[in-house]
Amino acid sequence: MKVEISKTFSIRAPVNEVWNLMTDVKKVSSCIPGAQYEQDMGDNKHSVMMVVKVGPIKSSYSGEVSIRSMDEENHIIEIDGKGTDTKGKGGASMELVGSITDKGDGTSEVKGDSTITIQGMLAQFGSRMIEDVSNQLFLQFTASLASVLEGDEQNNSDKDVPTEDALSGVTVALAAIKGVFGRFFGRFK
Amino acid sequence: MSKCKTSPEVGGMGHSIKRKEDPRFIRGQGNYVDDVVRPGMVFMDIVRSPYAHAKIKSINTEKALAHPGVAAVITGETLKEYNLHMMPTLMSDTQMVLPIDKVCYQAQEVAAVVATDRYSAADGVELVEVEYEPLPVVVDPHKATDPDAPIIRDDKEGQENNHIFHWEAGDKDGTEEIFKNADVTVKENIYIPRIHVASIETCGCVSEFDSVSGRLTVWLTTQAPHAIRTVVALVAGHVGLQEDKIRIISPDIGGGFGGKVPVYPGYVIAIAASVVTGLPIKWIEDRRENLQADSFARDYHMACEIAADKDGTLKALRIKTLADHGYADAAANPSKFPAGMFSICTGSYDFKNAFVEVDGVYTNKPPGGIAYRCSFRVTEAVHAIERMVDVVADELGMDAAELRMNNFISKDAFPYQSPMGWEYDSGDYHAALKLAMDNIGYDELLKEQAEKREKGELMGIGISSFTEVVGAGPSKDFDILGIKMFDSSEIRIHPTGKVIARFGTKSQGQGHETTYGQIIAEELGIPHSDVTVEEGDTDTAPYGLGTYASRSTPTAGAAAALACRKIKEKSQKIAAHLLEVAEEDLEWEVGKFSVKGVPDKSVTIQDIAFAAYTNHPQGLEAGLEATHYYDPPNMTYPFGSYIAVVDIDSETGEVKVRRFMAVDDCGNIINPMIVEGQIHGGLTQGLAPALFEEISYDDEGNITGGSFMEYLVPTAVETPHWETDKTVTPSPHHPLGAKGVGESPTVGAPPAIVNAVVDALSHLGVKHIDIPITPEKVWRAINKQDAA
Repeated sequence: MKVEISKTFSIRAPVNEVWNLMTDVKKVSSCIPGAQYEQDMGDNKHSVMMVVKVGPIKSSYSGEVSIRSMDEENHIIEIDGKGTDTKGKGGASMELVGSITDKGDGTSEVKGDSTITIQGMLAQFGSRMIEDVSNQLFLQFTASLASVLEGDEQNNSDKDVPTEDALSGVTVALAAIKGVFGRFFGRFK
Repeated sequence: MSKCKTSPEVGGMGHSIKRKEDPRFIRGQGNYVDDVVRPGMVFMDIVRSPYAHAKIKSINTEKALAHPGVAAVITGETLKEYNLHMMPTLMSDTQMVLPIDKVCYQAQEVAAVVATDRYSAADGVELVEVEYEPLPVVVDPHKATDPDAPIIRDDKEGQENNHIFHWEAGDKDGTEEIFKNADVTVKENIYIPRIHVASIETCGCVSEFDSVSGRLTVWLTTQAPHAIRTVVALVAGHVGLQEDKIRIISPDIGGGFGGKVPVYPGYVIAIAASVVTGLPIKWIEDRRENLQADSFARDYHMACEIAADKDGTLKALRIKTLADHGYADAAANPSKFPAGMFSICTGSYDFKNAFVEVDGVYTNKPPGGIAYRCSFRVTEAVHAIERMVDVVADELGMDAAELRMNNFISKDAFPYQSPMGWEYDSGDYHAALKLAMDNIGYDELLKEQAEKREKGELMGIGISSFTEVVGAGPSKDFDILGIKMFDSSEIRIHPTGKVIARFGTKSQGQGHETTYGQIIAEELGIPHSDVTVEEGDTDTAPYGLGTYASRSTPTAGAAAALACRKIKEKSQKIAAHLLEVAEEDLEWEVGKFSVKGVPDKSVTIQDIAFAAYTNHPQGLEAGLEATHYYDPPNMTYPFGSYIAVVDIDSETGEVKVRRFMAVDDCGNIINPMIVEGQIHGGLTQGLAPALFEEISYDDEGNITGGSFMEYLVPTAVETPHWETDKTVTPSPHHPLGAKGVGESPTVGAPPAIVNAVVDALSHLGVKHIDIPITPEKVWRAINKQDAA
């Protein structure tokens, strides 16, 4: 199955700082819930582990992230990612185009358009929840990002951001379920 | 049949005898494969592919083997040592049992784990690590033969694309000629989607190999135990499994519907594993495996055209079909019929000419093409013709009933030679449709519909006047892997007049234990309660091709009647001996021979049976038994007319079947209650694909309808009240005049429902909707929006 996700958010930090972080796979992956940076494979390729839990299905993806293009001047980056489940339960790939714009008031607007293709168990059983899980992932991601860029000195720069435990399965699953029900009933906000 | 020949106590044909098998079923005392327990039995579970098409880079079994309880992990490499990694399909294609280097559909078997208990087997499956490299997939059959499409069967020498077969029937030029000169031609693309039988019982087996005697016993969920025994002997003869050492037992079966005809890889793995380990092995699919990996049905993309006169006279029919067979051609058809009986598509109508062609293609989906409660693609054929007749009626602004009445084959025209070469045995199509119309009040419904339309309410009336072709079949045309499609009955009368009767067929809920007993009661006058019917054990039952395609009554039922007649012939000799008269002086009435003109001087069949063992005439063999292998001279052609009335919610698109009148004609009836039960079940399985069921795939070949969350099997809530009636037009060539009924309603119901929905929307310009007719499709049709 294919899921297209487009997101825009603002962050209280100058464009260059955001750009520097977003183009550093190691740092940015530390902001993604469930992601763990493994190693730089050279040639703009990096290996990353990612754990995602959707409903009853917990998947660990061993993946490769590569930066396809980087437009330093306009702050546009194209990233390809692909991963296979470490237990052979399926796989996923992603194409992401991200751009960062200076809003002029010391904040930057980050825009990301991604297409995610999913194969295997997750596609079969999680299809109804993937969008909601993605939303949760995204919210946690922006929160982490904000804490890195906007937060205290101590929480900044070279220090690894604590994101461990991937995505706290229960929390996200619950949030996602609320999302699903919310669509039907317009409450549980 | 208006009157029964036998008393209710004897219970011959026409009596609604309660089913003999039901007491054990309703008490939970049935004996299904999963009830079989053997000493020292171990359990198997299967690792399945998450990808629709991928290279297997490695299979790591280390962690699984380390799990306590796991005894073995079987891979394609293991089976290759015994040359059992591939197996033939019923259509002489090949299919992987377990893969060596690539998988070709999601949920395909990749490896099997054998463990001391079911839970450890499942845990072991979780621990097997398979490394895949995804390959491009072929999901859309229309793109399967594109030059740049990946070749799925690159394992087959000479296979340079994904095309499997081209098959055609009828007169191409003659049909084209009629189309050229026709007043009116209509065309519609009709898709009958991939569906699944969803039997209550999933598939499975218990395989036990006795390493001392070399005997293999397999309890198997199969509709055709004898054919399976022969297939196992042919496939595994080289490892010492010769046919006399193989015993297939098909115990109680919880629904087959064609889904238990094929040989599934799981059976072969379990059998191989039990032979290699010497341990009895049980393998039972779970619901998801059953739904996702087992053989599908239908999946025909049909481009249909009809040429007609202005007055509505149907002249010619042309259908070009693309058949999605999945990864292998594992359809369950007689060998000479790659598209089954699809050429029955001229249906109940007197077409001058017709031409059909079918191209089968490979895609990255499970293999199959089984006859789901249908005689080999008859459902597809009936769907096409019954839909198209309505398309013609709509085009000409004619009433759909009137158009049918004007084009039906007349009852005097039987035996009728169809332009496709079928010889219809008997029929009275006008009577069946008229009865259905009278019963449901067709004219009043038309009035009601007109009034409702005025008010903006959506109501539709749909007709389906189908003709089936069942009872495969005459040996000159019908075989499966070379084995002719006869069927058999062996009847033994014990000295006390009680009977054991064995058959080559296998009931999966049809009630054979009851109906075969009634046939014997009818023929010999022995009470049905004195007859024990046995099927499904290849060590004891006579050879037969099994139960599917509504063939049991047409073939084995006929065999029972003819075996009884052999017994009666011998009985007459014994009776003459007992009564000391000449054979010619005897006459038969139910259950006894008496001397002509002296009705008091008689002997009962029970007296005769006793004498057969205690006082048989010199020169005559002792005993009273007979076997008959029945090779039918022709197929039988059950038919019927169904009328559906639907109401549609214009806001939500929800379709409600308000009434459904089914008039069936299956010739002479053995047990009216069982026939009615068959019709109720069959209609529900016709409603299911019409409104709910479809196995769908996304662009990556992921199954999107892979559980009962998405695959909507109707419950009692969705099922309307079925109204049934019958006409009786006996088959002239069947010994009992019977035709078979199990499949008619599943075949006939879907187009009646579609026709009703399209009729409800026709004033909005709607010409056709593909099944399943979901509320979304109806809403889009009403609001003139294409599907997203």
